[in-house]
Amino acid sequence: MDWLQMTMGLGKALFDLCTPYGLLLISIGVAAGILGGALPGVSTTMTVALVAIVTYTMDPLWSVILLSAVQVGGTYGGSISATVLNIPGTPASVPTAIEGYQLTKKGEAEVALGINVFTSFMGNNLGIIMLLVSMPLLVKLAMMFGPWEMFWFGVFGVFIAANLSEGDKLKGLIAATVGLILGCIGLDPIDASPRFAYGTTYLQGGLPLIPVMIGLYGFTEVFEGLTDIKVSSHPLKKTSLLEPARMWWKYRWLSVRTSILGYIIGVAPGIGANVSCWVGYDHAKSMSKEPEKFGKGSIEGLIGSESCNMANVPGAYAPVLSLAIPGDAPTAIMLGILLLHGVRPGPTFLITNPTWLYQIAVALFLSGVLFVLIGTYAGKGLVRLFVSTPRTAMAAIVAVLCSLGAYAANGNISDIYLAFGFGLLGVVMKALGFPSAPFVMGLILGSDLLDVNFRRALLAGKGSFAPFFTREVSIALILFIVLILLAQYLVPKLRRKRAKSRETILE
Amino acid sequence: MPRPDRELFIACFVLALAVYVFFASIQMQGRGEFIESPGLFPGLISVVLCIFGIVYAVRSLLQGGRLKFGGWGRSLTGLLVSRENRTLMLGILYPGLYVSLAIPFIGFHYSSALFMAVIFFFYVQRWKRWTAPFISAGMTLLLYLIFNKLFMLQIR
Repeated sequence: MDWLQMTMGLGKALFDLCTPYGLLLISIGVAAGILGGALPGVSTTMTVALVAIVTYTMDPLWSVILLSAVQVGGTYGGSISATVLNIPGTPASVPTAIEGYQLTKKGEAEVALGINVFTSFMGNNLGIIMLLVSMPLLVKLAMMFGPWEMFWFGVFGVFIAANLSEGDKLKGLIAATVGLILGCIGLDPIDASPRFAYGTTYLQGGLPLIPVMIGLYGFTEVFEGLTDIKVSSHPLKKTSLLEPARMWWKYRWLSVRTSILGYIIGVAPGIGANVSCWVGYDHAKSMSKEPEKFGKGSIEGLIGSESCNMANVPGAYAPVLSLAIPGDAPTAIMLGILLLHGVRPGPTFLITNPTWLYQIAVALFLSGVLFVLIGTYAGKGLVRLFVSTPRTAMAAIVAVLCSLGAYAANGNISDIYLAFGFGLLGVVMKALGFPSAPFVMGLILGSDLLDVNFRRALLAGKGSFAPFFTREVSIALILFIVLILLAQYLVPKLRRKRAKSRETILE
Repeated sequence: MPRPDRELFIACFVLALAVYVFFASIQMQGRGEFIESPGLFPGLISVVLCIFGIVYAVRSLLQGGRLKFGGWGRSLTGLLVSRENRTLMLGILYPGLYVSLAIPFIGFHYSSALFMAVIFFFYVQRWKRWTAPFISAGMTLLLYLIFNKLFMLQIR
């Protein structure tokens, strides 16, 4: 690793971004992210999708910097509504809601929010360091990949997304496969023949990703929250700024460990913060000397889930930049924006554009500094606003934002109908126990990664399927995928067996 | 409807979808050889979906699922009458009217103001009713300023 080049690159990036325009853009992104992440019903993904609209006319690098600031802000913002209202602003904030809300009920909302800020900041910084260190290795690895390996990576992404979904794994796989089929709608990427377009020009362009995501995530929440007139609020007690810092310092090593876990999960495609927060929470609980406090307002649980959640953000950039595989839904939107600008990430991307990694790393760091400032001081005001706004009113505002976001993406009213339709699909899927995350991952990976690389590989291999299974890197990848899948099935079984034997010994 | 029966219906739907996609894929005309056919990938994926559908159907059958075509009316009435689902139906109806009728006919901003005013007026009990039009108008103005003026997007 060339440390000198990295130091110079980071210094130059810091110099480039610490301009009035750069700081303003990052501040706007962080503020929008915190607001979007904190608003019940508006997730980080949806905020990134909404802000993505304004990046269409921007420079590609600045677009990614703005969206990364939104993602960092949103990831932190999700913990605000989770802590104060017991409504996770994002799915990744559920463990925070479990512990944070209990602290709020005890009158310690500001301590909980302060811990969220410090922990998220440190998790973000550790994730950035790991991104800078591991990225060159990932790029070298990526250079060995042909369309065969890219295809297997796509398969890996879909399997991971399906397997790490909550509940029924088979339903996750079905949802992912349906997503893959829907991803094929539009013009064929190899010879531009229309597929499943039924003679309409609208479908020839493929299913637009942003309205689909707004529908699945935003409208689904709107339908459930719009006529729910139950309102809950809690008083907030004032606390010193030093108290959360002291608490974080007490559990600093837990924060470091869960940050490393969060980064690793972030690098793996298709898993994302929704899973990493639970991994961090679970790790905190298993290592805790006071596991009985979990679920009753545990500081360790809060630190474990939040640091893992935030370190996941820099981790998600590694596969998207080096392999063009989105690590999570917000980076999938970023990938969409990059493709829209004609920028195509991949194995050679960081060799031809070396400044991007440093610029993004510095943007993530500055976003962290800004959310500490905004989260500490303006967070209190936001908390008061949420406490005073009924959930129904929030859902109505979110419905308008969803329609606006879907429409503004292409200026096509059909996109609003599409978003609404996918909102209905989201409700049906939720009611029937089908997870939406594998479906979305299937949609993204199907159109951009699997289909193209599968056909390219077949063409390059003159119609032979053999290279998929005989190339050395392919074999290694297949083994890796099989091992991961086996581990996912075997580890919980082993844990249950151990727990049973422990219970028997205790009895 | 009991859960295994419902799951069996879904499995049948998944299988029907897989069969449809498969036949639609093999009918796609390519410009070259078989491996260049645009229907190759969706066709293969439909086979995978078919396998998952069969596994799902078998699992439902083993759990006691049966295809019963009677009793749909009763299940549907029960679905619509329950308090939670009625609330959900309203939650879908209002945005549905807003999206399908209001936006195309009176434009985005007017329809948004109207939609928010109606929701605030009837469902937000914590706010005084006379404030609903003002809050919704203020919100719409804010959105107009942000999207149309600040970001210069053509939202009409």
